[in-house]
Amino acid sequence: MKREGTSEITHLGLTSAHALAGKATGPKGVPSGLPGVLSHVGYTTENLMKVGVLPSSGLAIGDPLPLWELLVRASGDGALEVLVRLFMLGQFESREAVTRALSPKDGPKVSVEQLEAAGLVIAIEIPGKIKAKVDSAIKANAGVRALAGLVPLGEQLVLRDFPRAITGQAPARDYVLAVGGASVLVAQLTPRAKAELALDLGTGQGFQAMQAAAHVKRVIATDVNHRALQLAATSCALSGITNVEFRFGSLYEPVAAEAGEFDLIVSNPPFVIAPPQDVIGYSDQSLSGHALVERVVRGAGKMLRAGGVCVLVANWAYAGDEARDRRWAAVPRRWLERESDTPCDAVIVHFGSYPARTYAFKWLEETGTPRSEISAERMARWMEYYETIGLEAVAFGALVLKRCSPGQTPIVHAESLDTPPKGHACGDVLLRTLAGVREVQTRLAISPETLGAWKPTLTKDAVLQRELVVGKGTWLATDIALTQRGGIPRRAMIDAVTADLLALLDGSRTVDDAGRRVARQHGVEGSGADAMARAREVVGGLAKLGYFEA
Amino acid sequence: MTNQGSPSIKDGSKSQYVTNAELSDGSSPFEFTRAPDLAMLKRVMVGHGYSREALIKTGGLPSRDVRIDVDGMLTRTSEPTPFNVLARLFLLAGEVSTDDAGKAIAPLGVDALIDFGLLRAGSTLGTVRAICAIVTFGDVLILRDFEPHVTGASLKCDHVLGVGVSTILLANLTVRFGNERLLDIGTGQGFHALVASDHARAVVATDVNARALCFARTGGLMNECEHIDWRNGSLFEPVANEELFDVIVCNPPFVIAPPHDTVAIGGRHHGDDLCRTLIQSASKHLAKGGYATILFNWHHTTDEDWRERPKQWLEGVDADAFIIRFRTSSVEEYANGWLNESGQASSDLHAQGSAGNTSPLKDWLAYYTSIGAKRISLGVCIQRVRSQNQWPVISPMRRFDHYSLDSLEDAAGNQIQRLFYGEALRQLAARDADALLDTLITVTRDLEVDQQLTLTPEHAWGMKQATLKQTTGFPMHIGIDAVVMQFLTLCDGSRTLREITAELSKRFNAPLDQVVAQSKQLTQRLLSMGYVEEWPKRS
Repeated sequence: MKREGTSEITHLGLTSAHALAGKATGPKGVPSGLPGVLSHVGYTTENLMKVGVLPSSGLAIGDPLPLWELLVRASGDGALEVLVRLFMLGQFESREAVTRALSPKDGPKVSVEQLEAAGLVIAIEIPGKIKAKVDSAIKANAGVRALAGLVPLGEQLVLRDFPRAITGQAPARDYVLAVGGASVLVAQLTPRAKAELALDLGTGQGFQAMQAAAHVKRVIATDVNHRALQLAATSCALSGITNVEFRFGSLYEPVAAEAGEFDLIVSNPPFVIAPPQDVIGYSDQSLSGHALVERVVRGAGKMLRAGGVCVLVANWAYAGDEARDRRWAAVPRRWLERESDTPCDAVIVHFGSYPARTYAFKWLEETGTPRSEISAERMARWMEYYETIGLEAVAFGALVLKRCSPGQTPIVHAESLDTPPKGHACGDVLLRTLAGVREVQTRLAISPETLGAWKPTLTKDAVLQRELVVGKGTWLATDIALTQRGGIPRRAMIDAVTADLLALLDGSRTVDDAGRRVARQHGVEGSGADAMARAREVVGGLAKLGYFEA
Repeated sequence: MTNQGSPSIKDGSKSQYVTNAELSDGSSPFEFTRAPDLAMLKRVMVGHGYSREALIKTGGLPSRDVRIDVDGMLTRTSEPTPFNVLARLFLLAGEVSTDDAGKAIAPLGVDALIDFGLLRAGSTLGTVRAICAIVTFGDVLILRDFEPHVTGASLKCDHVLGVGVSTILLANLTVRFGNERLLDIGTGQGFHALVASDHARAVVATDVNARALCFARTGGLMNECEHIDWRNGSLFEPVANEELFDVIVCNPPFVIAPPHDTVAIGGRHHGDDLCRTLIQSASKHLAKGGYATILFNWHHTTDEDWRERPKQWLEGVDADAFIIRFRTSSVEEYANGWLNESGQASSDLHAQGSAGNTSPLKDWLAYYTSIGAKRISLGVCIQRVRSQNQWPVISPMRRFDHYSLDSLEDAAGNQIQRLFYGEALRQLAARDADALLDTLITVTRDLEVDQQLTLTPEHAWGMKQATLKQTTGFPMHIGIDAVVMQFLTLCDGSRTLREITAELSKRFNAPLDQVVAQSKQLTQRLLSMGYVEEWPKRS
């Protein structure tokens, strides 16, 4: 992992974007003792939340607190505080204090020199001219500073650049972003089945690759940012991950040789639609509008094996009638239609759309741009750019693609979620959704009776939520909702009859049979045909929401 | 009432306790002997759609705690409809033509309101302006001063603040019996007194700021609130030697700040002395069975338990006490928050407050160092004087809970009463094992069970978990099972706990002594979480 054109660190107090690459010897030089020391002194997600320098989400989203407040929280001479100031808050710490923090009593030890050799920290350099005149005590006490932030996320250690709130400087061109909301979203939407080969396209700090490494034998991570690859490789080494291979390059170019072999592609691309040279790291610098995201989507089919899955978050622009009628799915549908050789089934998830101006402001804010720099002129430049590319509204969403088997006609399921998924994995649910849509469509194409003859199995993760109040000495249900364990906030209000119908669907009986049976149990009026029609309707609707086993 | 408070300065900044000579010079902004039909004025304003919701819609009143967009609002209200004219007059401190004002307040006359003092001649001929703002909360109209950022003027020492987040918080924490005698200490714009007059038999509202009392009294007339006794004076002075009260509420100017830094935030009191004084004096003015609810701030060091300081204050206080902490901030965060969020007000204050040229933040932090404060907490102290025969005192209750401000759902007054009753009964049960068994148990009707069912191996719906909740008040969730659900249906006030356990033992075919032991434990838990209503013993 060699980096060209490294530059000198010329003055103190500056996290040079090039410094790490210049100094580092690569993953091989990673001090193997560091993870042990960090864990020994309690440098963990949980403790950093307790200290209050990591938000309770565990993610460094926007770092909303001012630096002084964070410094107050991490004041003190304990090993943990020193390392928090060094690795979370980008402060200079005296060599002596860091040495002490890195060599806890009765614990593993690592030396400052080892961290320096690995390019993780850099010493204050006293210019040669005055070096001779400096007191030896000062030399001994000279400080060190981390060249990148080191964030513990669960079992893993993730390197990333210090946020603007800490450095006070606009990001350099090769700035490496923290693990943010979009990264987590991709991780949640990714199915976690065991597999052979995965691609993390635009890996950045390496978070997706590190997640995939847990269930995929071999992971290839690509990026057009050398520094990102360097940090990600070091993070993997620090986290004991050995099955990720890093490649430099754009889009699918670095993995052309593996076309058609991937079981999984994950990507949190720089999807923000912004004028060139603005919001570094969030926005692609070579392609305009949503062209990058479109290329990722359209290229995925060729790279996947049949049945392979691609997950990405995306923003896309739309305009005209589509913007007026809020047809947010039209643009990604067109991308998918154009792909004819290697078609994919797709779930398009929509989390919300923003008018151009709101979108511009939101991203300027979310990228940590200080209010003072969100000037009228800057906004005007963004709006002008949007006019040039014909953008009126922007959708924020995610796509899950599944390469079709030969001969299959691709299907597209589009769903708008008011709140983004939280906490749990939901990739499997989305794949079940695709299977459900395909099953129902195929059967209805033949006849309603064919749907009635289906023997579906309600998934084990279905959950019934009831609200009960006391009435006349017993409990009465005021609300019954069907939901799923897992992060997708789907919630269907149902009645007691439907709840019992669903329990009957255990794979042993047909939809029609279950419909007749439950109608009898509840004494529902009407003919058997009514009961069957009703059951088919319920099952058809819920299959599209992934409530039945594939 | 989960509304966000009015814009303006944050929680509870009030000016009542400032002993500035200007405050109580006795001159009233209003000529009450020449008061027009103010109830009519309210009807006219409401008739023209002057409501909080309508003002928010027009973009005038921010729905969150941020500033009014004055310029935008002036543009949007340029057409002289009665609503727009009222908004310009009473929200935006604008000058409107006398003709337009006349149309907006008809059948009342502009002259009558000028005579009364609510309106004054504007700077140009043929215009009028209002001397204060009128805002609505539900059905209640409130008079308050225009905010400095609306008028561009600096904060006066007798500034009357609006209904803020802490005002609404206190309203939600107030115990309401109906037909009670209520005391509102430091009433300010009068919100609590006006709301209570709806159900109290008598209300005494005090304030050291005579101007505030005039505003409040006018509010009383507009809202046709009777039997409110407005009294000028500090703390409990105006009610010394007075008949005791059933309910006392107080939202004091609790901000801990350097002296003379501001009139609107904190005041002459040192540190949290004002809060301590209020907490230590309140119970002397409470009737048996009465409740005092006091919002307060207190400081502590980093290592000190947050409970320690209020616990010491309560030593020797002859009342049950329940303290809830809502949040704790470092002094840096606290000072910064106040200095930033009070905006215009604070920048005025800096000018007055800092003798030297140091930054106000430094002044504040130096002050905290001088009083040994590292962290500052916001909370409420609720006290109750027990009625001996009903709830015998064994030892005074000292309960400390922590909830976030957002976790409070609507009014908690009933839940608070149940919590005090629950503690008394628990104490009784600790002494006399049979006492609990012989009590008629009624669980509150204000409860709900959230149940989750998942598929059993036999592919039927089976209960996975059930959570018992109260729908109003603080979150008091308990995970329960099917037996507890049965237990709860039996607690309808017609059975003693002894009878309930007998029935349960029959239904589940379980040994009685086991059911009794478990039920006692469960009942204790329900009592401590406010699920049990007070119910007279069966004779």
